[in-house]
Amino acid sequence: MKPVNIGIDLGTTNSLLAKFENNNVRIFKNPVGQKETLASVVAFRKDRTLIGDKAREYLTKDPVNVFGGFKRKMGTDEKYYVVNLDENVTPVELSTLVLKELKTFLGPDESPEACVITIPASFDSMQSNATLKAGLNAGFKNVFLLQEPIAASLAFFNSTAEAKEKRDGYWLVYDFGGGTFDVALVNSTQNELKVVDHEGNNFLGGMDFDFAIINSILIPAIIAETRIENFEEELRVKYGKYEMLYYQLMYYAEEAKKELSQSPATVIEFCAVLDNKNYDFYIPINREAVDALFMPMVQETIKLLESIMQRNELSKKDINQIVLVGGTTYLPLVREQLVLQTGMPVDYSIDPTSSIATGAAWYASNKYYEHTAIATNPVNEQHAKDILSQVDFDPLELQVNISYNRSSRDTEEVLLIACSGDYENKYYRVTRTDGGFDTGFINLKAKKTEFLLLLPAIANSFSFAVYDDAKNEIVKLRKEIAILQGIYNIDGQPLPQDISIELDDPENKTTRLEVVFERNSLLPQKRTLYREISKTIKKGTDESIIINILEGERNSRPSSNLTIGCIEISGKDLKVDLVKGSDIEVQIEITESRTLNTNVFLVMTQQEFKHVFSVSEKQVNIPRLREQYLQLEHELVENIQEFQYNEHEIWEIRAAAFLEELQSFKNTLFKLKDHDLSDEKYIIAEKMMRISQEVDKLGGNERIATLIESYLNRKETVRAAIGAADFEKENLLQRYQKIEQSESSFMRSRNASVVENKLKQLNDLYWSALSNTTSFLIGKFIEFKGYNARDYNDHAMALSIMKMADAALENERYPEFRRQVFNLSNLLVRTNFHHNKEFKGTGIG
Amino acid sequence: MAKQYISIIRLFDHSSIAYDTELNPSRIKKQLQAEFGFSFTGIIEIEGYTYNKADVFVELERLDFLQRMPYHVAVWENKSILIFLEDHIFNIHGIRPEMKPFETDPLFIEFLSPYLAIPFNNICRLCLNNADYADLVELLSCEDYLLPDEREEAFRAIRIFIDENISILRNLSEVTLKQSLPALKHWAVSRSGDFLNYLPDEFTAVKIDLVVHLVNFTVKIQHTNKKMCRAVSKELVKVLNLPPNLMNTVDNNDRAYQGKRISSGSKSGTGNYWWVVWVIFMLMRMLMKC
Repeated sequence: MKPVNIGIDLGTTNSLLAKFENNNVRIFKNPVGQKETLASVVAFRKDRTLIGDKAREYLTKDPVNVFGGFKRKMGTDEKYYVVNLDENVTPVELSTLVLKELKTFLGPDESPEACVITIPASFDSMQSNATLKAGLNAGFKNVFLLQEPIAASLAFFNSTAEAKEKRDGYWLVYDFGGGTFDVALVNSTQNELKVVDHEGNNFLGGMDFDFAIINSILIPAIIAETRIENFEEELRVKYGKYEMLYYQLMYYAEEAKKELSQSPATVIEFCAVLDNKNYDFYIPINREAVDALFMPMVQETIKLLESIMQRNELSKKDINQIVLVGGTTYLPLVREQLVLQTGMPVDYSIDPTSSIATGAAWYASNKYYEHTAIATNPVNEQHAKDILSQVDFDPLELQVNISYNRSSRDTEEVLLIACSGDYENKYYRVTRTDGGFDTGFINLKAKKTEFLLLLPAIANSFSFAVYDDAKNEIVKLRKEIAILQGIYNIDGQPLPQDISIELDDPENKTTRLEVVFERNSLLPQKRTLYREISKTIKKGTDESIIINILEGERNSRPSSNLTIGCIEISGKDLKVDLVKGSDIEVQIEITESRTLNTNVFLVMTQQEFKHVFSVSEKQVNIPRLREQYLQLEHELVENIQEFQYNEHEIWEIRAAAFLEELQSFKNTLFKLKDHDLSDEKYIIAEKMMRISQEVDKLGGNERIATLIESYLNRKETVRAAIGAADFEKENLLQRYQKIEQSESSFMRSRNASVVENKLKQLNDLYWSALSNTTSFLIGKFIEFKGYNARDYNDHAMALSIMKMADAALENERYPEFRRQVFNLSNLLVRTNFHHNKEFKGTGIG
Repeated sequence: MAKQYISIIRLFDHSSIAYDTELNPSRIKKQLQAEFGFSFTGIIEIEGYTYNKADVFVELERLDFLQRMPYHVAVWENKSILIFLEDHIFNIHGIRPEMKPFETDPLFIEFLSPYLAIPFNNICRLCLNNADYADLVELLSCEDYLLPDEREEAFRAIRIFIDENISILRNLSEVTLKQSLPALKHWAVSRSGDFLNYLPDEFTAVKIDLVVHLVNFTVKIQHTNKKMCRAVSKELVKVLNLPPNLMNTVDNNDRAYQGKRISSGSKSGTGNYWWVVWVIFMLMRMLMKC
């Protein structure tokens, strides 16, 4: 295994490449122009493709053939039309070009096989996988992804000048880049660095500041000068008549923003031909004006920062410093507001532009990869045997592998030695090159551990040598070891979202999410779930079970989550019938680069189904999508009724609009064949997920506040109802406590549907408490007695139960009375049928 | 929170980490970090058991890791407990004796409970599916090792099973009765009554509810399916801690059902009975004369 060493910051605006070499990190410069940064811009000219700053220059000349900001579109279906080529390019292809260009920074002699590429912490699996794909397409055989806040933390904590002075405790890494924002809570101890939690917004970055300048300053100024009607609408039309001007304005806005970081005022000057008329524009802008525009976005970042502190129950005195990273933190407004609003010390000692790449290289120095032929081109067993038969390979030949960390904060570091082959009567010896440490000759074993003593704050070099029985060195087994003391390492990167599996909730005729890997669990993760089949699947039929793995908020409905893996096992795949209640084992593995591997084992049929979900592959199951549709539709109808009742007209209108949009593709969805090959299902799934997420946000903070208030009020009523209950008090209390325990987590989710769901649970509990209260049951019983014969499924039986209940009541046999009232209620004709009578679910319970 | 147990001792053995001497968690962590460094995926598989770094380090970083270590060793040495926790295999004869020494150790119960819930639930489900009440009763006798936080997960299968049965029983009608019989036949299996007796306290109310429905069920099938009716009733009379009137109903019904069997039996059978009484009577008279 070889260390990766190369770290790449694939940024929205600029990209960089750094390498760990000679025990330090070096940022490589563009051979053309000697700049460290490469603009993440691609220009397609008729005869060639330009990447970087040269491409960016073409933005004002030929904007329809120049593309930037595509990082924000990674993992989407977005395509860019290139006029000069008359073809579409995808964000992955554009990123590939940037990565290929970055590789040239290393010079013609170096062709790295592996690299670490950074991604925003909030990137979902689709976006991560798209980045991975770009890396592989750029010619790297092994690509490791690293979350940007972790890279920034490593860069900050390993910055040589201050490394010694860093204190233990919590730090906030505030990473405000060109297109995305991340904030991470990092815990540093004497020897370790850990990302505890993070928050982010993939659509909040410097670009949005540029758009704000365009929308609020440049467009009004142009309209004032030209008096063109509908200019603003026309400007935004894709391939419209002002498209070129729009891209030019983006360029001017960015330049103005940069200038305003240095000086209090600037001017945007440009000429344009609009509707066959020449215009010279002279638009003065001052910092005060743009600060007012930027303020809401800065506020949004501070809100995310505060939410991470609130979630982790930390106050400002618990935080050592806020560390600033990313180009947008150059803005004075950002720095001022952070100090002013948070009251915490802010550190901008590290270079906001290069720190992510630097941290990525630190990470890469301790990341190892296997030889490409093995890692990327798996061979089958027979092929492997064929290869081995052609190689002169002696299984008894001594093989020695060593493992160690190349950087450490400790004064000792472990060296693990693993041997195979003939190691009897052989020795090893580890020496530090300054002579200060020597293990002497030690017998080799299958596995040995040595603790190497390190000198502080330098690169410690050791030699590992192997000797035969006569103490002659076996030179080919010699290995050099270098360990940098005083350098932080990181254990792993956290999952940005919960990974859940969709399971049936037959009682409510719906599905629920069960968390497999919790948000912030360190990757990689592997787990086996033991579940049961909840419906019988006959061999040879089209009936199926669905293993649906989703990413997102665990408390929200499945349709708000992103499906990252879906396996359907139908009756046609089965060797024998799969009986309800039989066992299913689902093994789920998520790698450090967020590739999902699943292995499903049906115990009854003894069949195994393996699946690796490939990069940026969308997963949609049509029957499941239909059921999710029905659930969402039902919820929206309920919401509309609730908003009507509470006279929330605006919310009602919005919910009705969502319902209309949802129902606009109902026919298409229900007409789709289960195994439709077109893209229609992806389009519908995408729309549904968006609507579902919008429904979660419906009513914004006001609705959440209202729901929380209702929840808190309801809690009191429920507590009182439980107190008054005559039966099952303990059970009721347990249910209540369970809801209360999850309170802080669902309230922090800031998701109306989640809070609403908890409110429903509380309401259910309230009714359960009442139905365990004798006085309520008596009232109900009187009500039931007043019903007509047609209100009961079996009136004769109802009458007989009524008699028994009367007798029980008369003799004060209350438990029996309660049972009879329940029995009576079960005989009632139900008019309130569930919205989804033919619930199929996933088939897994 | 319930979680799957995979013994850390196996990983220590694999990594040649001695655990019979004084342990240094920080050094162990470094050793394991290097061990995980050998694995390309960051996951180590030993004898089919999977170890991921994050989970292992969570255990190692616990403040009470050194206090928990003897329990890891104990589980490793008691193979019935180990295979129960790791493989969800229930060795009916082995597990209780192995757990016995720890029954009064609250720290052990605190350690074990989160790992116990998942296999406990799985085996309960398996037993219920196979109507294997003997194993289930044995398993339920280990419920004291489950703490409140894990009980819901541990008894999930039982709760679903009972809820489903109550639901079937509630919806019985002339139309559904015949088709529901196969789904209810396990109540006629020997020791199903014991199973109800061994249910923990939190099931008391639901148990009563279930018994009431089963009583109604026996009434419904008393003429059409006498054999099943008698078998279910025979199990119901074993159920303890029922409200007195319910218990009376169960007993009276059972007497009636079993009585029906006698009265519907052959006359010669009844004749034989009186003949035995007559012989005993004569023998006693002879003895008294002597």
